Amino acid sequence: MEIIKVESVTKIYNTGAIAVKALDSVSLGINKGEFLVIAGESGSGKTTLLNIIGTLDNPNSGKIYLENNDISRYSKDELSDLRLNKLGFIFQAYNLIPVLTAIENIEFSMMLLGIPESVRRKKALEIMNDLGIDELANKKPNQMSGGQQQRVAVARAIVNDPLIVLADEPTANLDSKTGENLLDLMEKMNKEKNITFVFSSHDNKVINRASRLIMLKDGQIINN
Amino acid sequence: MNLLFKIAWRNIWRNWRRSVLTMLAVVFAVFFINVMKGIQTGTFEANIRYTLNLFSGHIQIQKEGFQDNPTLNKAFSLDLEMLGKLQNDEYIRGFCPRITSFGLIGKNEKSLGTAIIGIDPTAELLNSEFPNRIKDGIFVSSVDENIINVGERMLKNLNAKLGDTVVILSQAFDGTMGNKKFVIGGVFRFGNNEFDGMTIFMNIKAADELLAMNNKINSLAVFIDNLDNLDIASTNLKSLAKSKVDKGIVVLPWFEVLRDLKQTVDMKVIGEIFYVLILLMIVGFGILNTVLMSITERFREFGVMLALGTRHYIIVLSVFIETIIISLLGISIGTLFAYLLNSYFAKNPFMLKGDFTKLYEELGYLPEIYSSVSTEIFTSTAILIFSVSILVYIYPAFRLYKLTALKGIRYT
Ligand SMILES: Nc1ncnc2c1ncn2[C@@H]1O[C@H](COP(=O)(O)OP(=O)(O)OP(=O)(O)O)[C@@H](O)[C@H]1O
Ligand SMILES: [Mg+2]
Repeated sequence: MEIIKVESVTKIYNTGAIAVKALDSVSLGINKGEFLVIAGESGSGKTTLLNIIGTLDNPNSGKIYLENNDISRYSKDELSDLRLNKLGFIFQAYNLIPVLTAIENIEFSMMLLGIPESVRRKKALEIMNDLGIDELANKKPNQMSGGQQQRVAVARAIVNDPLIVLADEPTANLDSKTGENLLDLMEKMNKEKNITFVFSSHDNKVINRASRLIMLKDGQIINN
Repeated sequence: MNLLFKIAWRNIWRNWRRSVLTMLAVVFAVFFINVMKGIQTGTFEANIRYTLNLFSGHIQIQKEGFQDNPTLNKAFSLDLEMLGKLQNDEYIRGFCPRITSFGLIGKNEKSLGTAIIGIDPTAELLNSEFPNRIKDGIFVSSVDENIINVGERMLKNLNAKLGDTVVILSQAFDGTMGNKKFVIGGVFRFGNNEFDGMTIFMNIKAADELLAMNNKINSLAVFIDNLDNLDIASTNLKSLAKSKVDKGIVVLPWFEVLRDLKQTVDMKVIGEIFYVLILLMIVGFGILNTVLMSITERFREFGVMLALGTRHYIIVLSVFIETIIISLLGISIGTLFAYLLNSYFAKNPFMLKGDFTKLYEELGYLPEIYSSVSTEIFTSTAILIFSVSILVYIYPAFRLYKLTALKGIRYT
């Protein structure tokens, strides 16, 4: 089942005199349950594509469909609600809200959704248990290692059963072993809960695990 | 809401040094404004009290028009009913009937123009302070009606001394010229050269006779127990005056009598607004600067929050709560300290020393600095500073509202 459709999306950045075509007529469909990796060298447009899928950025032309809805007509607040309800994000680093503990970070979206404390606490504890990070519950981000923070970020991204989790180079700031552990975790969630993941990466550890690999070069898909 | 408070509260303590510094700026401004306003209000009040008690009284009952054009024929008589009511009014401490006229005072070949004020010495001794202004000799006597008091300057201008006999000449109520010999029994000094050079006090009975007043007076100075009761006492007196057959009697609270004093007070209040504005600007920019600094530092995490689907208003509100908490804490602490200081100086006035004492006395002020703990001072300052912190938040709120998730995440 195709949950996301990218239809000839072009993104041009205008920095002063030069215009950079970060994405050049990219079309792509993403199916439920995929473990999709977007690879390509630095500057190829991976982050740009992920941001546009995640509704954080607008294309200059082309369309994005989420569950067959054209999101280009959505207002700022509607996009905000869409992200809250349907999308999970894992950024390269500094994902967590510094003043909140790990468990509060995981509960954050549920708090915004107005889910009662007892329910969200239970759900957060469950997911922490699944990911084996229970002992981090009451730690603040600055009391955790980079790898621990990324695992909490994974928990936060998947706790609401999102349609899709978008992860922009989630292992880039981690050492190789920690990176592998994080990938294990996400693979497990993908297999057990059928959560769809889309990664950007030029890390072979990530690429090797892909259920499908998309190569970007100069803003164009060169293999699919 | 709970979440907002939690995030706001923790963010305050996250950079506690900065929060405390901002708070201290608020504390300082609140403290300073309150102390300044306290001194201003307290000292003014003390001076007003002092001036009113000295001579004019808190409320004057006069014949209509006398205030603007004090002529002898604008006179009225006090009947027994009115006297009874005045005596029984709970707010009224006492009252002094007075006759005011103009005439000439002469000694040998020298004569000078003078205001002639007839007073009831017993009533004045009980109610007003000016009997204490007798520098030499004795006060107007209720026994010997020939004794008068003259100003220090007048005594000099007349080349006279205590015990000298003078002749006073004035047009009486009926139009005839009255003249009578008096003895200078005492010399007073009010500090005001004009007044000290052009005024004599005599017994009201002597004035009545000299001026053929037939028991009429020109004004009644009413002294009340407490300046705070001015409004209610005036209202009482006004309804009393209205019920009189003798129409055309007016009841004037002090600020309608001593218009200059009222004006001085108002002018000084305007002057102080300037300082308050400068302080407000300092505090306002202080808060603005801190808030801007603290939000730009956090653009990244706001970006993450926005990416997760947080609405802008939540972020705007959460930083607003931080600002409000800091501002309210600062206001409370500043108010507390100012209250302590003000209440001390409200009870223990600070006495000016040396030349200042003279200067103040010559200007007709008390050489004492008082403060005040009037709640109006503290509430107005609190509201002012609170409004400033809200006003100052408009710009940071706008910056936050315009922030997008990506700009935030990319912000370094
Ligand atoms: N905000 C921006 N303003 C201007 N140019 C941009 C901006 N973001 C990206 N670009 C340009 O667009 C192109 C694609 O950038 P993008 O970040 O998508 O690449 P990437 O594949 O994620 O690279 P990396 O592996 O280094 O993260 C690059 O040439 C980049 O310089
Ligand atoms: Mg990138």
